[in-house]
Amino acid sequence: MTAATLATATRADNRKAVIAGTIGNVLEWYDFGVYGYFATTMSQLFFPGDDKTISLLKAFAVFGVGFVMRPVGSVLFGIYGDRFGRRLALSAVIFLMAFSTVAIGLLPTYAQAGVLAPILLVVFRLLQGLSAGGEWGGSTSYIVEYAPEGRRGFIGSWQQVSVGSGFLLGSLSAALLSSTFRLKRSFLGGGESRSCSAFWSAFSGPISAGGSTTRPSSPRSRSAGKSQRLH
Amino acid sequence: MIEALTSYRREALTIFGLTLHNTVAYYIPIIYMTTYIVWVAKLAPSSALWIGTSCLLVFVILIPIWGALSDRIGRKPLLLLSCGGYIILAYPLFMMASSGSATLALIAQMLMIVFLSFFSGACPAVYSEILPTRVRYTALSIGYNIAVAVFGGFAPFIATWLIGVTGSNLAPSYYLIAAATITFLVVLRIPETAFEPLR
Repeated sequence: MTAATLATATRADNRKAVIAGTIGNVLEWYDFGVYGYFATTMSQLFFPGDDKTISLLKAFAVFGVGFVMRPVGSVLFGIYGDRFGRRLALSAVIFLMAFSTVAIGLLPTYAQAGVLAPILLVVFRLLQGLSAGGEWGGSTSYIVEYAPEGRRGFIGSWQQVSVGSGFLLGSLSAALLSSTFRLKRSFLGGGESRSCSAFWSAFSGPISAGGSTTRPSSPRSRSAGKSQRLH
Repeated sequence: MIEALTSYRREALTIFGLTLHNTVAYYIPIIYMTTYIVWVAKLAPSSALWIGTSCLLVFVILIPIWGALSDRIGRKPLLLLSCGGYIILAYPLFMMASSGSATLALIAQMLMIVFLSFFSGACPAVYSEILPTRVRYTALSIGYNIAVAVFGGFAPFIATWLIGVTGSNLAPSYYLIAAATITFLVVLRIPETAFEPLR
């Protein structure tokens, strides 16, 4: 790919790349973040105990465990994305996230399955983290590489808008559920909300994955895959 | 990948340093404050969630504005403003958030989110501009994700633990101040890249 064709990438192309990258990201981060808003619920469903602080600490530890896999995901999907293009890597990332989020939504609780419940929770949280690790660097590179000179700040900031919107969606659905079900003070959300989020993921996953497969590969990553020394 | 880790060790390290504040000041106001407002300030979960939701709405509206501003005035002023704001305001904002008043909790969380948004608006461009295209995905992902894994993902855990150990409900602010101080120093050392072409 020559510099001239890079320069003539149309505005419509730019917009399409940013919108596709943004939508995929929103759903990705909704899936990853929604756990945090149900931390109190999770602590009671999966780590019941007399000391509520200890239960909450365990639930937050599992929230953190998801992040531990992020460097691994970033290496796996990063290498894949630098070599073969951002598009394929990001599609795989989003399928993985949708799958593990639905699984968390359908897990039995500690009361139903004993110690197996928190173990499975950790396993699927790890898979979520693997996906999230691949996503961040990929979508940032992808969006910023599409931006014309002098507009990288503005165009790139949509990556952050999409991550923030994912958390917004998570927080909003948790707020709606907690208001709707009029739950007790100490109980954020509950079984109903967990199921709702699972159903939401079941729908959102295919949609976001479909969206990501229609993304064009970023012009820089295509040439990055072919030429040894681009910069 | 080996190239990304050896030749660009300094860049990956810079990204790690930039990410400290970016991730701690992200997961504390965005995830942890919802729980904090319920546990410490004793507000109803639904109030805490609506406070958080309105803050996030403002957050996503502000980000592109600061992104566009960073194209005009440069990235570094916004990054420094974000870190500086946290260094000065984290402690008083936690006093407000823990007071038990829903209005004060909303103002406190909103101010945290506003100061975070300065960083969020400029950071995707900064991260990408530091690295050349060939190793960008890999080096960016690794530097960013290691910092997030250690300091961001466990930020709610660390904050809960700090309160338990110190017995002070304001202890999470020390964690925010420490991360913001380190990143402030890193930002002072990076070049302004807003007006250079992407490598």
